[in-house]
Amino acid sequence: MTLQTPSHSVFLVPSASHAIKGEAALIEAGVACRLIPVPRTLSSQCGVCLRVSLSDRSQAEQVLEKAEVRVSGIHDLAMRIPRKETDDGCSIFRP
Amino acid sequence: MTMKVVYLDNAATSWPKPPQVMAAMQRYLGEVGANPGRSGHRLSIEAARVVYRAREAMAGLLGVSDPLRVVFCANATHALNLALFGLLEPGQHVVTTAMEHNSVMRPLRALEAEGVTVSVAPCSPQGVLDPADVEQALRPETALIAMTQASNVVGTLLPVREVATLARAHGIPLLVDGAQSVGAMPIDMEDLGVDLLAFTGHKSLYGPTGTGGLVIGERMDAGRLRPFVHGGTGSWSESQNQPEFLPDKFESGTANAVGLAGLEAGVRWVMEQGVEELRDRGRGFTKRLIERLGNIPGVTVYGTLDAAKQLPVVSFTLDCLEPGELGLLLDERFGVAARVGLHCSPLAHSTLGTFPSGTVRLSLSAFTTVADVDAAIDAVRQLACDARPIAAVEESSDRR
Repeated sequence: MTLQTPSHSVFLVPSASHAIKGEAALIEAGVACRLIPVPRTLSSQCGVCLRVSLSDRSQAEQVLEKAEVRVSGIHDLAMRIPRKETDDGCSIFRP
Repeated sequence: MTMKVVYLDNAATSWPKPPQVMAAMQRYLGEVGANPGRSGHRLSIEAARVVYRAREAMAGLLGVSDPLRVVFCANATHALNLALFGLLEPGQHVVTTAMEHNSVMRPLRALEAEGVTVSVAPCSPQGVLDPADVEQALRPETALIAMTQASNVVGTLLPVREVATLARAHGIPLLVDGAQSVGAMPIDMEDLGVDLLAFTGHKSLYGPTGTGGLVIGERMDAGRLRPFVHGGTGSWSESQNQPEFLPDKFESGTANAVGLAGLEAGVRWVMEQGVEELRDRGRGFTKRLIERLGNIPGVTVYGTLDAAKQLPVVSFTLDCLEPGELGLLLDERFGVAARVGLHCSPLAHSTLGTFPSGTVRLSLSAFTTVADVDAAIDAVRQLACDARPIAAVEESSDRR
């Protein structure tokens, strides 16, 4: 198995409500993010978490802290299939 | 030809709804549709966004900084049950008022049977509460004050700010039933000093039925509140125990997302119109109703008879027709939709002196026109004229 370099950071939050609250704060701060299902390797909970590019990790951390979004864990992840975050949060409806 | 309906039963459920409400619900069903937040795909995430936006709208309306303190449930009754059963334990004492709806009184009577002591602060026959009567009812073991903000029978406003001040002074949480008031008058929950506020979506917020909730004020420790319903939340699924964080602790089961899409649109619409502007408009119509109904011989209007001290809900009786018959005639002959009887508030009617026969209640909304108000007044005047001679004949034959 090849050891891959992390390209993204994932913020685990208690619930989808927290994730949406975090997404709104990140979008407002201009940090591209995406809501993704929680990777099974990180947690067994269903629900969603927030993914940002690794380069945005510290900014995202600050934004979420300022917005009082409870973060229960931050993990850097390598993508098996490389991709970039987009500004649209992968929504067919947003912005 | 179908008779035009003059809908004056808005204190039960407002109708019509703004077109934006219907459009939001249609969009949800047509384009989103998925289970909010349970799955990671875009439709589920969008559904979660819809629910969150409804939370944001409610928080914005009520001056609450964290939308996650808005807990959604089916209506104000569920929210009140959540608060009352969630907080009170046998051996504790609760103070309420003599103007409450059964959504407060029935849970309290059920809790009373389990060992909670209930004191009812009296109100005047106009439905007015003196905060001193609440203070007088307090005991060392008082764990909660539960009161309505506006009577669903006569619209009378209760002194929530004054009660909140004394509740804070005694360190007792205050639960407010905002079923009639939320959306109908400006409310800043923190400024007002309310710890728990129950609201419904289908009255003055112009949302659909099946929406409502409990707002947990920033000073209220949500850890003290036990959940009323336990189950799946889409979060912490590895645990068989209920999550402790808001709002999931109190929101088990799939949310009424289509309803909440409509609720958000309703709240935004209310905010666009301006809560104060809507209230001013309603106040003028209320004044007209109180004055003109009161001038009809045989009519008694209940409450303070001062539109500034109430919401647009007017209750009255006619001496020659009992409320049920009067309501039926208003509907059948004039298309006026009113609500008659006890309005699920036997205690409030006892206070007003209208128990057990009740009253006829006319309640207005942002869509009520002066023509609607006048149509109702004219209909009551006409029925009073028509019924009086018949009642007189009946009375004389009774004497014989």
